[in-house]
Amino acid sequence: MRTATLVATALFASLPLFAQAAPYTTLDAAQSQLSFQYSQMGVPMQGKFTQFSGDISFDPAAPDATSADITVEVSGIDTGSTDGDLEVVTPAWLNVEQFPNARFVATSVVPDGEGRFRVEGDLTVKGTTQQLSVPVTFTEKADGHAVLEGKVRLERGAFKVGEGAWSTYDIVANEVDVVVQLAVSR
Amino acid sequence: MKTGFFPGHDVATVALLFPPLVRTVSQPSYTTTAKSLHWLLACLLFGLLALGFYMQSLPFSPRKLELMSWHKWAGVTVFLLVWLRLGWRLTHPAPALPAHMNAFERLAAHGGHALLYVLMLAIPLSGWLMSSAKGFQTVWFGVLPLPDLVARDRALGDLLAQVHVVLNWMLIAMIVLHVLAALKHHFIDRDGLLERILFRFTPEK
Repeated sequence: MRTATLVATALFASLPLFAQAAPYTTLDAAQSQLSFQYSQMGVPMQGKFTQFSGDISFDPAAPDATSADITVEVSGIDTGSTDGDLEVVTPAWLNVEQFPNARFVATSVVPDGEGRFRVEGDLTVKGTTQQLSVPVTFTEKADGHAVLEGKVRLERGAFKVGEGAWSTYDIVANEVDVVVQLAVSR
Repeated sequence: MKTGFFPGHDVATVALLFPPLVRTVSQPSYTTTAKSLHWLLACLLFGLLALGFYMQSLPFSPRKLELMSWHKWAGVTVFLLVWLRLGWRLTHPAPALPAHMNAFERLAAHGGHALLYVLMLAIPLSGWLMSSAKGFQTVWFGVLPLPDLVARDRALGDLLAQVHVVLNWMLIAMIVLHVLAALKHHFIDRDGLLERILFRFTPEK
Protein backbone atom coordinates (compact mmCIF):
# COMPACT_ATOMS: atom_id res chain seq x y z
CA MET A 1 0.00 0.00 0.00
CA ARG A 2 2.81 2.35 0.91
CA THR A 3 4.63 1.58 -2.34
CA ALA A 4 1.46 2.34 -4.26
CA THR A 5 1.04 5.68 -2.46
CA LEU A 6 4.68 6.47 -3.16
CA VAL A 7 4.28 5.74 -6.86
CA ALA A 8 1.02 7.67 -7.05
CA THR A 9 2.57 10.67 -5.31
CA ALA A 10 5.56 10.56 -7.61
CA LEU A 11 3.29 10.46 -10.63
CA PHE A 12 1.13 13.33 -9.46
CA ALA A 13 4.21 15.32 -8.53
CA SER A 14 5.67 14.92 -11.97
CA LEU A 15 2.52 16.05 -13.78
CA PRO A 16 3.27 19.78 -13.47
CA LEU A 17 6.57 19.07 -15.22
CA PHE A 18 4.66 17.97 -18.33
CA ALA A 19 2.10 20.74 -18.11
CA GLN A 20 4.77 23.38 -17.85
CA ALA A 21 6.84 22.20 -20.86
CA ALA A 22 7.75 25.35 -22.78
CA PRO A 23 5.88 25.98 -26.01
CA TYR A 24 7.66 25.94 -29.37
CA THR A 25 8.08 29.56 -30.34
CA THR A 26 10.61 29.54 -33.16
CA LEU A 27 9.92 28.59 -36.74
CA ASP A 28 13.06 27.28 -38.46
CA ALA A 29 12.14 28.23 -42.02
CA ALA A 30 15.41 26.85 -43.40
CA GLN A 31 14.53 23.39 -42.05
CA SER A 32 10.91 23.66 -43.11
CA GLN A 33 9.19 22.82 -46.37
CA LEU A 34 6.15 24.19 -48.11
CA SER A 35 5.45 22.13 -51.22
CA PHE A 36 2.49 21.40 -53.44
CA GLN A 37 1.32 18.87 -56.01
CA TYR A 38 -0.94 19.50 -58.96
CA SER A 39 -1.91 17.83 -62.19
CA GLN A 40 -1.35 19.09 -65.73
CA MET A 41 -3.16 17.01 -68.37
CA GLY A 42 -2.68 13.85 -66.36
CA VAL A 43 0.96 14.63 -65.61
CA PRO A 44 1.75 14.92 -61.88
CA MET A 45 3.73 18.05 -61.10
CA GLN A 46 5.60 19.01 -57.95
CA GLY A 47 6.23 22.52 -56.79
CA LYS A 48 7.31 24.40 -53.73
CA PHE A 49 7.58 27.79 -52.08
CA THR A 50 11.15 28.61 -51.18
CA GLN A 51 10.55 31.81 -49.20
CA PHE A 52 8.35 31.91 -46.14
CA SER A 53 8.60 32.93 -42.52
CA GLY A 54 6.36 33.32 -39.55
CA ASP A 55 5.64 33.59 -35.89
CA ILE A 56 4.50 30.51 -34.14
CA SER A 57 3.73 29.51 -30.59
CA PHE A 58 2.64 25.94 -30.13
CA ASP A 59 2.38 23.82 -27.01
CA PRO A 60 1.10 20.28 -27.62
CA ALA A 61 -0.23 20.20 -24.06
CA ALA A 62 -2.15 23.43 -24.53
CA PRO A 63 -3.15 23.56 -28.21
CA ASP A 64 -5.91 26.10 -27.62
CA ALA A 65 -3.22 28.68 -26.81
CA THR A 66 -1.60 28.24 -30.22
CA SER A 67 -0.78 31.20 -32.38
CA ALA A 68 0.55 30.86 -35.90
CA ASP A 69 1.01 33.54 -38.52
CA ILE A 70 2.92 32.42 -41.60
CA THR A 71 3.76 34.70 -44.51
CA VAL A 72 4.84 33.32 -47.87
CA GLU A 73 6.74 35.42 -50.37
CA VAL A 74 4.92 34.21 -53.46
CA SER A 75 7.68 35.20 -55.90
CA GLY A 76 9.78 32.41 -54.43
CA ILE A 77 7.53 29.83 -56.08
CA ASP A 78 8.88 26.89 -58.06
CA THR A 79 6.14 25.24 -60.15
CA GLY A 80 8.28 22.35 -61.36
CA SER A 81 9.06 23.85 -64.75
CA THR A 82 10.56 27.06 -66.09
CA ASP A 83 7.58 27.71 -68.35
CA GLY A 84 5.30 27.34 -65.37
CA ASP A 85 7.40 29.65 -63.21
CA LEU A 86 7.21 32.41 -65.80
CA GLU A 87 3.44 32.00 -66.21
CA VAL A 88 2.39 31.60 -62.58
CA VAL A 89 3.48 35.09 -61.48
CA THR A 90 1.32 36.82 -64.11
CA PRO A 91 -1.98 38.58 -63.26
CA ALA A 92 -4.09 35.65 -64.49
CA TRP A 93 -2.38 33.45 -61.90
CA LEU A 94 -0.84 34.67 -58.64
CA ASN A 95 -0.42 38.29 -59.73
CA VAL A 96 2.73 38.63 -57.71
CA GLU A 97 3.10 42.33 -58.50
CA GLN A 98 -0.16 43.18 -56.78
CA PHE A 99 -0.17 40.42 -54.17
CA PRO A 100 3.42 39.66 -53.25
CA ASN A 101 2.49 37.68 -50.14
CA ALA A 102 0.20 34.88 -49.10
CA ARG A 103 -0.67 34.50 -45.43
CA PHE A 104 -2.00 31.88 -43.08
CA VAL A 105 -3.29 32.78 -39.64
CA ALA A 106 -4.41 29.99 -37.32
CA THR A 107 -7.70 30.61 -35.53
CA SER A 108 -8.12 27.42 -33.54
CA VAL A 109 -6.25 24.20 -32.79
CA VAL A 110 -7.91 21.17 -31.23
CA PRO A 111 -6.43 17.78 -30.38
CA ASP A 112 -7.45 14.95 -32.69
CA GLY A 113 -5.78 11.82 -31.40
CA GLU A 114 -2.30 10.82 -30.37
CA GLY A 115 0.10 13.48 -31.65
CA ARG A 116 -2.57 14.77 -34.04
CA PHE A 117 -4.31 18.11 -34.16
CA ARG A 118 -6.86 19.85 -36.31
CA VAL A 119 -5.80 23.38 -37.21
CA GLU A 120 -8.38 25.87 -38.42
CA GLY A 121 -7.23 29.11 -39.96
CA ASP A 122 -7.57 31.76 -42.62
CA LEU A 123 -5.52 31.50 -45.78
CA THR A 124 -5.20 34.63 -47.88
CA VAL A 125 -3.94 34.23 -51.44
CA LYS A 126 -4.23 36.86 -54.18
CA GLY A 127 -6.35 38.99 -51.89
CA THR A 128 -8.96 36.29 -51.25
CA THR A 129 -9.35 34.73 -47.81
CA GLN A 130 -10.63 31.21 -47.31
CA GLN A 131 -11.08 29.22 -44.15
CA LEU A 132 -9.00 26.08 -43.99
CA SER A 133 -9.08 23.00 -41.84
CA VAL A 134 -5.76 21.17 -41.81
CA PRO A 135 -5.02 17.85 -40.07
CA VAL A 136 -1.57 18.20 -38.49
CA THR A 137 0.75 15.68 -36.88
CA PHE A 138 3.21 16.71 -34.20
CA THR A 139 6.46 14.83 -33.80
CA GLU A 140 8.88 15.68 -31.05
CA LYS A 141 12.58 15.45 -31.91
CA ALA A 142 15.59 15.73 -29.65
CA ASP A 143 16.99 18.96 -28.18
CA GLY A 144 13.77 20.91 -28.02
CA HIS A 145 13.03 20.52 -31.75
CA ALA A 146 9.80 19.27 -33.25
CA VAL A 147 8.10 18.90 -36.60
CA LEU A 148 4.55 19.84 -37.51
CA GLU A 149 3.31 18.20 -40.70
CA GLY A 150 0.08 18.89 -42.47
CA LYS A 151 -1.56 18.25 -45.84
CA VAL A 152 -4.53 20.05 -47.25
CA ARG A 153 -6.29 20.06 -50.61
CA LEU A 154 -7.02 23.50 -52.00
CA GLU A 155 -9.01 24.57 -55.02
CA ARG A 156 -7.06 27.22 -56.87
CA GLY A 157 -10.32 28.47 -58.33
CA ALA A 158 -11.48 29.61 -54.89
CA PHE A 159 -8.59 32.08 -54.92
CA LYS A 160 -9.00 32.98 -58.61
CA VAL A 161 -5.54 31.59 -59.30
CA GLY A 162 -5.46 30.74 -63.02
CA GLU A 163 -8.22 32.90 -64.49
CA GLY A 164 -9.62 33.14 -67.98
CA ALA A 165 -8.68 30.30 -70.29
CA TRP A 166 -7.00 28.49 -67.37
CA SER A 167 -10.23 28.28 -65.38
CA THR A 168 -11.76 25.39 -67.32
CA TYR A 169 -9.44 23.10 -65.29
CA ASP A 170 -9.00 20.65 -68.16
CA ILE A 171 -5.36 21.58 -68.74
CA VAL A 172 -4.27 22.46 -65.19
CA ALA A 173 -6.49 20.84 -62.58
CA ASN A 174 -8.31 22.82 -59.91
CA GLU A 175 -7.07 20.69 -57.02
CA VAL A 176 -3.74 21.58 -55.47
CA ASP A 177 -2.46 19.47 -52.59
CA VAL A 178 -0.33 21.54 -50.24
CA VAL A 179 2.10 19.78 -47.94
CA VAL A 180 3.46 21.71 -44.97
CA GLN A 181 6.41 20.59 -42.91
CA LEU A 182 7.34 23.10 -40.22
CA ALA A 183 10.42 22.66 -38.07
CA VAL A 184 9.92 24.37 -34.77
CA SER A 185 12.08 24.77 -31.70
CA ARG A 186 11.83 26.13 -28.19
CA MET B 1 -9.87 -0.09 -121.59
CA LYS B 2 -10.57 0.98 -118.03
CA THR B 3 -8.28 0.34 -115.11
CA GLY B 4 -9.43 -0.59 -111.63
CA PHE B 5 -6.80 1.58 -110.00
CA PHE B 6 -8.14 4.86 -111.30
CA PRO B 7 -11.82 4.16 -111.83
CA GLY B 8 -13.18 6.02 -114.78
CA HIS B 9 -9.82 6.81 -116.37
CA ASP B 10 -8.62 4.83 -119.32
CA VAL B 11 -5.28 3.19 -119.65
CA ALA B 12 -3.81 5.78 -121.95
CA THR B 13 -4.22 8.58 -119.38
CA VAL B 14 -2.82 6.47 -116.59
CA ALA B 15 0.11 5.41 -118.79
CA LEU B 16 1.08 9.05 -119.20
CA LEU B 17 1.16 9.70 -115.46
CA PHE B 18 2.21 6.37 -114.06
CA PRO B 19 4.03 4.41 -116.76
CA PRO B 20 5.06 1.43 -114.62
CA LEU B 21 1.49 0.76 -113.47
CA VAL B 22 0.48 -0.19 -116.95
CA ARG B 23 3.02 -2.99 -117.13
CA THR B 24 1.55 -6.38 -116.45
CA VAL B 25 4.90 -7.87 -115.44
CA SER B 26 4.73 -8.67 -111.72
CA GLN B 27 7.11 -6.55 -109.69
CA PRO B 28 8.84 -7.55 -106.47
CA SER B 29 7.00 -5.74 -103.74
CA TYR B 30 7.12 -4.87 -100.06
CA THR B 31 4.76 -6.83 -97.82
CA THR B 32 1.40 -5.28 -97.00
CA THR B 33 2.56 -4.85 -93.41
CA ALA B 34 5.65 -2.95 -94.54
CA LYS B 35 3.59 -0.74 -96.82
CA SER B 36 1.03 -0.05 -94.11
CA LEU B 37 3.67 0.90 -91.55
CA HIS B 38 5.50 3.04 -94.10
CA TRP B 39 2.47 5.14 -95.05
CA LEU B 40 1.09 5.28 -91.51
CA LEU B 41 4.43 6.62 -90.30
CA ALA B 42 4.62 9.04 -93.22
CA CYS B 43 1.24 10.51 -92.23
CA LEU B 44 2.13 10.65 -88.54
CA LEU B 45 5.50 12.25 -89.21
CA PHE B 46 3.96 14.87 -91.46
CA GLY B 47 1.39 15.66 -88.79
CA LEU B 48 4.00 15.78 -86.05
CA LEU B 49 6.23 18.13 -88.01
CA ALA B 50 3.33 20.46 -88.77
CA LEU B 51 2.10 20.35 -85.17
CA GLY B 52 5.62 20.85 -83.84
CA PHE B 53 6.29 23.96 -85.87
CA TYR B 54 2.85 25.41 -85.14
CA MET B 55 2.75 24.82 -81.38
CA GLN B 56 6.25 26.16 -80.97
CA SER B 57 5.12 29.48 -82.40
CA LEU B 58 2.36 29.90 -79.81
CA PRO B 59 2.69 31.92 -76.61
CA PHE B 60 2.30 29.91 -73.41
CA SER B 61 -1.38 29.07 -73.00
CA PRO B 62 -3.68 26.15 -72.18
CA ARG B 63 -3.97 25.49 -75.93
CA LYS B 64 -0.20 25.25 -76.28
CA LEU B 65 0.04 22.80 -73.39
CA GLU B 66 -2.75 20.75 -74.93
CA LEU B 67 -1.06 20.65 -78.35
CA MET B 68 2.26 19.77 -76.75
CA SER B 69 0.62 16.82 -75.01
CA TRP B 70 -0.87 15.59 -78.26
CA HIS B 71 2.49 16.06 -79.98
CA LYS B 72 4.21 13.99 -77.30
CA TRP B 73 1.56 11.26 -77.37
CA ALA B 74 1.85 10.99 -81.15
CA GLY B 75 5.64 11.04 -80.82
CA VAL B 76 5.65 8.10 -78.42
CA THR B 77 3.34 6.24 -80.81
CA VAL B 78 5.74 6.87 -83.71
CA PHE B 79 8.68 5.72 -81.57
CA LEU B 80 6.95 2.38 -80.97
CA LEU B 81 5.81 2.01 -84.59
CA VAL B 82 9.35 2.62 -85.89
CA TRP B 83 10.64 -0.22 -83.72
CA LEU B 84 7.90 -2.39 -85.21
CA ARG B 85 8.83 -1.27 -88.72
CA LEU B 86 12.51 -1.93 -88.06
CA GLY B 87 11.82 -5.35 -86.59
CA TRP B 88 9.61 -6.20 -89.54
CA ARG B 89 12.21 -5.06 -92.06
CA LEU B 90 14.95 -7.09 -90.40
CA THR B 91 12.80 -10.23 -90.47
CA HIS B 92 11.19 -9.55 -93.84
CA PRO B 93 13.92 -8.16 -96.11
CA ALA B 94 12.98 -5.51 -98.60
CA PRO B 95 12.92 -6.50 -102.27
CA ALA B 96 16.31 -6.31 -104.04
CA LEU B 97 17.31 -3.00 -105.58
CA PRO B 98 16.94 -2.68 -109.38
CA ALA B 99 19.80 -4.14 -111.43
CA HIS B 100 20.73 -0.84 -113.07
CA MET B 101 21.93 0.68 -109.79
CA ASN B 102 25.71 0.83 -109.29
CA ALA B 103 27.61 0.35 -106.03
CA PHE B 104 27.52 4.04 -105.08
CA GLU B 105 23.79 4.29 -105.71
CA ARG B 106 23.16 1.18 -103.61
CA LEU B 107 25.24 2.62 -100.79
CA ALA B 108 23.31 5.89 -101.00
CA ALA B 109 20.00 4.02 -100.90
CA HIS B 110 20.89 1.85 -97.91
CA GLY B 111 22.62 4.73 -96.14
CA GLY B 112 19.68 7.00 -96.69
CA HIS B 113 17.22 4.49 -95.27
CA ALA B 114 19.48 3.77 -92.31
CA LEU B 115 19.71 7.49 -91.56
CA LEU B 116 15.93 7.79 -91.75
CA TYR B 117 15.56 5.02 -89.18
CA VAL B 118 18.16 6.59 -86.90
CA LEU B 119 16.41 9.98 -87.08
CA MET B 120 12.96 8.48 -86.56
CA LEU B 121 14.20 6.95 -83.32
CA ALA B 122 16.52 9.73 -82.16
CA ILE B 123 13.92 12.48 -82.57
CA PRO B 124 11.24 11.11 -80.22
CA LEU B 125 13.99 10.06 -77.82
CA SER B 126 15.38 13.60 -77.74
CA GLY B 127 11.86 14.92 -77.19
CA TRP B 128 11.26 12.52 -74.30
CA LEU B 129 14.53 13.51 -72.63
CA MET B 130 13.86 17.20 -73.26
CA SER B 131 10.43 16.97 -71.65
CA SER B 132 11.88 15.35 -68.53
CA ALA B 133 14.69 17.90 -68.33
CA LYS B 134 12.11 20.69 -68.53
CA GLY B 135 10.14 19.22 -65.64
CA PHE B 136 7.28 17.62 -67.57
CA GLN B 137 7.02 13.88 -67.25
CA THR B 138 5.51 12.22 -70.33
CA VAL B 139 2.27 10.42 -69.60
CA TRP B 140 1.20 8.58 -72.77
CA PHE B 141 -2.36 9.58 -73.60
CA GLY B 142 -2.60 10.78 -70.01
CA VAL B 143 -2.65 7.17 -68.87
CA LEU B 144 0.77 5.50 -69.09
CA PRO B 145 3.60 7.39 -67.39
CA LEU B 146 7.01 7.10 -69.01
CA PRO B 147 9.98 7.26 -66.64
CA ASP B 148 12.05 10.44 -66.47
CA LEU B 149 15.43 9.27 -67.73
CA VAL B 150 17.01 12.59 -66.79
CA ALA B 151 16.35 14.87 -63.84
CA ARG B 152 14.99 18.37 -64.14
CA ASP B 153 17.78 20.60 -65.43
CA ARG B 154 17.13 23.87 -67.18
CA ALA B 155 20.40 23.97 -69.16
CA LEU B 156 20.00 20.36 -70.28
CA GLY B 157 16.39 21.04 -71.26
CA ASP B 158 17.40 23.96 -73.48
CA LEU B 159 20.21 21.92 -75.04
CA LEU B 160 17.89 18.99 -75.79
CA ALA B 161 15.37 21.38 -77.29
CA GLN B 162 18.03 22.53 -79.75
CA VAL B 163 19.01 18.92 -80.48
CA HIS B 164 15.35 18.11 -81.17
CA VAL B 165 15.09 21.01 -83.62
CA VAL B 166 18.33 20.16 -85.46
CA LEU B 167 17.38 16.49 -85.79
CA ASN B 168 14.00 17.49 -87.19
CA TRP B 169 15.59 19.69 -89.86
CA MET B 170 17.79 16.72 -90.76
CA LEU B 171 14.68 14.55 -91.01
CA ILE B 172 13.00 17.07 -93.29
CA ALA B 173 16.09 17.07 -95.52
CA MET B 174 16.16 13.26 -95.59
CA ILE B 175 12.45 13.06 -96.40
CA VAL B 176 12.93 15.47 -99.30
CA LEU B 177 15.86 13.40 -100.60
CA HIS B 178 13.84 10.21 -100.08
CA VAL B 179 10.91 11.56 -102.12
CA LEU B 180 13.16 13.01 -104.83
CA ALA B 181 14.99 9.69 -105.14
CA ALA B 182 11.71 7.79 -105.44
CA LEU B 183 10.49 10.17 -108.14
CA LYS B 184 13.82 9.92 -109.95
CA HIS B 185 13.46 6.13 -110.07
CA HIS B 186 9.89 6.45 -111.23
CA PHE B 187 10.18 9.12 -113.93
CA ILE B 188 13.82 8.89 -115.02
CA ASP B 189 14.89 5.29 -114.42
CA ARG B 190 11.38 3.95 -115.00
CA ASP B 191 12.31 0.85 -113.00
CA GLY B 192 9.02 0.34 -111.16
CA LEU B 193 10.64 1.01 -107.81
CA LEU B 194 7.96 3.36 -106.50
CA GLU B 195 5.29 0.76 -107.23
CA ARG B 196 6.83 -1.58 -104.68
CA ILE B 197 5.69 0.55 -101.74
CA LEU B 198 2.31 1.49 -103.19
CA PHE B 199 -0.77 -0.53 -102.43
CA ARG B 200 -1.59 -2.60 -105.48
CA PHE B 201 -5.05 -2.77 -106.93
CA THR B 202 -5.73 -5.41 -109.55
CA PRO B 203 -6.94 -3.83 -112.80
CA GLU B 204 -10.37 -4.86 -114.10
CA LYS B 205 -10.13 -7.54 -116.75
